[in-house]
Amino acid sequence: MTSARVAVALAVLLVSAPATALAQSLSNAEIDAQFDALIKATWSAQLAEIAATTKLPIVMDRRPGGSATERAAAYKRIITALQNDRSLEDLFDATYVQRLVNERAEARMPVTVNGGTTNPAAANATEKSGATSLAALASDFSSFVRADKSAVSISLSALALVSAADPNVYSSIAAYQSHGFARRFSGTVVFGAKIPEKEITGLSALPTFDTILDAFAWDVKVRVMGDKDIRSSRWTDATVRRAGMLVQMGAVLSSWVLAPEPGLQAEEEIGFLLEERTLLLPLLGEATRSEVSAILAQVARSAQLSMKVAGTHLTQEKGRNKYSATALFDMGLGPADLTANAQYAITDDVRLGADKLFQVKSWTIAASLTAHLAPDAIVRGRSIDWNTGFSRSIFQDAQKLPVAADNTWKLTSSIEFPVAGGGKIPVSVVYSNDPNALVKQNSVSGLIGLSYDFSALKEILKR
Amino acid sequence: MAKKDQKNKKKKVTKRARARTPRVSPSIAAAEILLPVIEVPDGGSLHVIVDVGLMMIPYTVAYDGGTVIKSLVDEAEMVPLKPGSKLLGWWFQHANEDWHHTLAYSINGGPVKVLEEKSKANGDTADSEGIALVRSRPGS
Repeated sequence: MTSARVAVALAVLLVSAPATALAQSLSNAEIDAQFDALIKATWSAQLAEIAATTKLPIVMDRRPGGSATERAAAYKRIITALQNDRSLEDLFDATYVQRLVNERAEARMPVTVNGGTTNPAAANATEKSGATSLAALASDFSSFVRADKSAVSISLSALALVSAADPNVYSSIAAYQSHGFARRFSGTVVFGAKIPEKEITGLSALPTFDTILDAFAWDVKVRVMGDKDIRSSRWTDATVRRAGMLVQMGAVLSSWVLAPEPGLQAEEEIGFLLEERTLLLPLLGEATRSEVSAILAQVARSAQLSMKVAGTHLTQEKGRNKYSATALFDMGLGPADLTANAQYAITDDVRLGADKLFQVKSWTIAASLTAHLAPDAIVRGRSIDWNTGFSRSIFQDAQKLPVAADNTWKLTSSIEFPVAGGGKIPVSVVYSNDPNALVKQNSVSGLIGLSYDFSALKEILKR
Repeated sequence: MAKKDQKNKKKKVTKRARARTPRVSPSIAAAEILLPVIEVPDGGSLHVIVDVGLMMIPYTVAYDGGTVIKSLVDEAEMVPLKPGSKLLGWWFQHANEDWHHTLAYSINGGPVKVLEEKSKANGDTADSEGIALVRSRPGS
């Protein structure tokens, strides 16, 4: 048995005690020191095995000799072996990881910016399941109130009710994970919105479907399943523990394997390092990058479900209130993101008089796929955004309503081409059995409406 | 007049150049641009200082095969120097938007010198690995 094998056997014995017991009795620095010893011993053992089969000499008990090609091949074999050895992570248990997260210093999300399902002004039929951003509903309402006044939107999170960890003191992961329950809740209130009547009642056949009404809207959203935020505790095992181990491995090995031989002249030391690092560092880097890419893909493909209740109330007319409950689902599908919503809404309608109030009950199901295509193809750092989806609105007991109520469906597909200067050229096609869904299109033929906006090109030509 | 100014400038440059005693040969100096070299005086101390933005994956700074810093937040630590030429290695892997990091060092608590400064805003890649040669003769 070689001395390297003895060393790795001793190192394995050292860490064979239950990891939890180790973490409870040792500091993180002591565990790091144990890992450093283990990784070096494992490296040496792997090198000894390769040297035995390839007859390559070993330099300073840590480097293969031979030609650059032979050394690179040996490095590659050792790094692959270390990458596949999951037992190396055993030292880093939950206690170690949490201590690392909580250390003092000093958070790809399905963020929704427009609260689509309860925001009648939103262009898209679907809404992401993440918390509504501050910009929220007002960003969409603005298109309706350009000539009048702006809607005021306030987004609230339950987090505002508790004291969050100071991001200047704790890590972003610790700050995010504190008050994890409160982070599940968010809400929005909108004042001064002006909404077409159709968007409140869902009744498209009315002659007054496009009448603008003053409204006040609110919603409360709670995330009930999943968390697509990489700071979530569900991902720390992959990020802080696994990826953290690979990063530590890279730093420790590069500072140890490449150590110059004693007795070299200053110029020889640097010459050696400049050559040898080009063999080792890219291989270590590739090992870490591939794993981190896999972790990010896992986060992106995970599912997230939120429930949302919302209300829309007319401020100038009495008796017209809309209440809805919506399930919001997000999931990554490789190159595309799937968003699906199911909404049940009840609307009070007093158009026949306050004493003849009736309720409109409806189901709306919508789904869309979003993909970011051809990144950097037209404008560096931007992609062609393609969104396609459908929605179906079905009235409950439609035959019992005192007014005509037609079930509607809509298929939409839009592509946004980026242009220089931050602009974009949107082109969309709508196919619907609801003629009122096509009134804002540039061109309508039968059930198909085409919309486009080339104003971004004008801006470029002006320069 | 213009020629006179040029002559004066040349003289000044020559004087400054002569005043400096080259620490290393030009070929080594050129190589050191590609590979940072930290010379710690006899008995001196070396601190590494790391300033990071939001981190999802802990970064690591190691010296001669031993972890000096593994953290998600800003840190500054003294390097446990060993005699001779040893390597300082570092590894940053970013997994979020809007990241940045700066790695610097200070000898004997003196001026801070930056080894590496990278950010998403500058268009740098999300991973960064590097080494620096540390030459030292720590005091007893």
